Amino acid sequence: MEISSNQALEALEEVQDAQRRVATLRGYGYAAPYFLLWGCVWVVGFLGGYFLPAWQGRGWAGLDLAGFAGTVLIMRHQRSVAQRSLGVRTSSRTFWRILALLATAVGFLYATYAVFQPQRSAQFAVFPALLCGSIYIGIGLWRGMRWVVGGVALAAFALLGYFLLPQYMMLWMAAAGGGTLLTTGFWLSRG
Amino acid sequence: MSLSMDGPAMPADGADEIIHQPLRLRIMAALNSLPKREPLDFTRLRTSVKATDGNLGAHLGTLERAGYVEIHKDFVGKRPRTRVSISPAGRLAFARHVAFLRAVIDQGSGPP
Repeated sequence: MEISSNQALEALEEVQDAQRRVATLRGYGYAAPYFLLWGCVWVVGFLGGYFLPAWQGRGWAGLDLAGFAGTVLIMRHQRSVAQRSLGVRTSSRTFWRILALLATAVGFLYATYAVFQPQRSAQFAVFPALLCGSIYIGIGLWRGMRWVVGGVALAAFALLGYFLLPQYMMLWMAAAGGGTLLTTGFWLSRG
Repeated sequence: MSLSMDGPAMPADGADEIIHQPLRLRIMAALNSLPKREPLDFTRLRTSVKATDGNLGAHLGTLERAGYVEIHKDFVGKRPRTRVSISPAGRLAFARHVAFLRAVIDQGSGPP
């Protein structure tokens, strides 16, 4: 067996490509449960907003807190699985960074509502989807195409509902917004 | 004058003939990129290396017989699960093979 420098170069490129794909798929696997959790939060929240309009303020605050708590539980579980698997104590820096990112996004959302004072429920409903969609697209530029597809779908469905079905926006966001998060979560969890 | 990247073919004295096969090289690269002792699901490995079930299974068998990978089979609920991890011997063999490939490139593209 003989190997030319060109064949060696191609082999090393294959190595890099395989390593990159594994990193992307591992990232998908870690992200999937968060999409599933927040997909459920959105379905419940927007359905509640449609059928019980009076509940929206306190209802969403409670759901966001529940989503936060669930996020923390998933992160702790993933960390403990990693520690058991590796047999060493892993750093908690990522844990705190992700929590800080989530807190920043929620803080930005409520601050924007406070400043711009949206008047219609459709305006309340469309903004989180546009914000999350943009964040997913941004992450996806580095972390893989499935993030981008999920982000684009979320933002596009939200805009579609806002302009074409404003009177049914809550119902639309429960189905299309929550549904997109759940579908993306299932997709990310697949190999 | 510089040699082209398609320079003279080298005898593969330092090459690991088991790892050199393209799909097995991709499998080893994928598993080697994981933290020590962390296994990868069969389905995720299959997607990572762009292989079919049968093809991947056959090449994993070759790598397992060489002592380069470890295959773990268990159940999650009632569903069977297969996970694969790289062994310490596999990591060493992979590192040597990559070093060999780099040496081939260096010799092919270096100054005369």
